[in-house]
Amino acid sequence: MRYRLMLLVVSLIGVAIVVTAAVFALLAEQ
Amino acid sequence: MTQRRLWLEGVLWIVAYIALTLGPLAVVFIGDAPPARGFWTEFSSALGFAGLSMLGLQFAITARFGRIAAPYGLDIALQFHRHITLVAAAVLLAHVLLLFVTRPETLALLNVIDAPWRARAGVASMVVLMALIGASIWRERLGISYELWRQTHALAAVLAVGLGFVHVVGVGHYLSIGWKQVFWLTITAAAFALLGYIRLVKPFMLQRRPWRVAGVVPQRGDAWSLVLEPVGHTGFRFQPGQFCWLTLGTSPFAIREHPFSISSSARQEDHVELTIKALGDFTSRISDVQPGTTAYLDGPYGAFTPNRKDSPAYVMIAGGIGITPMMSILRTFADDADPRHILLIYAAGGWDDITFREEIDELRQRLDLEIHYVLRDPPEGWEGLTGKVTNELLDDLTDTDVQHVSFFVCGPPALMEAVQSSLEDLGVPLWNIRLERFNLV
Repeated sequence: MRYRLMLLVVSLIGVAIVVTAAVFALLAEQ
Repeated sequence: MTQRRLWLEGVLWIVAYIALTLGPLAVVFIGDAPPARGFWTEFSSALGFAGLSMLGLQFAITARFGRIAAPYGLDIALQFHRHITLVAAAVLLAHVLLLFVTRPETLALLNVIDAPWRARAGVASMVVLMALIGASIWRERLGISYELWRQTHALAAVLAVGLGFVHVVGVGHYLSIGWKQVFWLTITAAAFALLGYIRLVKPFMLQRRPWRVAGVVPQRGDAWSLVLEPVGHTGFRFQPGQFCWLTLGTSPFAIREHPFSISSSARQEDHVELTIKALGDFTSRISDVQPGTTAYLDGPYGAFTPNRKDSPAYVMIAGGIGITPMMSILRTFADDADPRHILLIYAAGGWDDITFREEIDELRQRLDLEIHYVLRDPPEGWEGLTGKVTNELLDDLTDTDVQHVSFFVCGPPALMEAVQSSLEDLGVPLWNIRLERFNLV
């Protein structure tokens, strides 16, 4: 349970980072 | 700490992690903006900053702060460290590859002879990071000893982060403003300060609380129990099933420590017993340890303990030396005269390899303990269970009320994966299955 939750959190953090970086890039571009 | 409080703290630390990863990125983009360089270049930059923040935060995760590890267990915190490193590496690789694909002229920066020093620093940082990850994943296959790995791991991490910082300051696109440079310098310094805490402050604190080997007791299955007594202090209180890091016969500053489960009862406060199977360089020398040898214990850590969640009964599934934390739980339950039913399924090689066999059988007198040994190499005439711990076997042994019983599983990775999958098939809720993953590196 703990291990799977950890893997889920790691995946979500990865997605959050990519999305946030893309948003920053869009803002910086304008 | 209550279950709800632990959950809350667990969620808060994750939020803090995300804020600390993405916060520095926000700071980079705040204030006067330099001329825009196109979406892909800006995207690549943002990934680079986020990846570097993640690398810096790794020092906080491995600092073994009890408060951070408590909600998850230190084993899970360290597994997070392993997996999030792969995410950071992927983010940093994407940072580089995006530049190469969208601006092929940047490929020239790989030429370390002609490239500017800021590019050399970036390339060197990536090379060190990849070497660090490769050495961690394939340590055993590469023949790297655990001690050498521990000693070089931190050095490589400092190099990767330090060179990464030199790279972003050197590129300077977003850090041309003084206060932003100071901000990133502070973050990098804080990361290194954490490493200083792990390598200097913590060993100093351990050195002031030495232990002494009082006995080395041979056990079945090529295992040895080290009995350790505190010297000049009162030792520590632990929960049954927890583990600690052991430094033996050398200074804690030498960073030659190894994690081992505690096998003694949590009610016996005058000594701690660690049971260690002879498997590697360090563990195969345990039998030679002389009583009187000085030791240092960093701990206790871990969430593989029945104290965190009440249960009407327990099913414990052990493979080989995975019995060690369960032995601590059984001994503690016996000292508490705990009346709850415990089903122990213990997989081992042969009859003579069953570590603690005699004591476990004796514990039946003091506990409501049902034991089933599952042997890979049974002796002639053996009428008990043989082979592997399968779905059918678990289905036969566990009763229908698996919804409300806590399951503890500890053993080789293959056994734990198979058992976890079987338990899910049997309808055991995930939150009632507790696994101890001790294969950290």
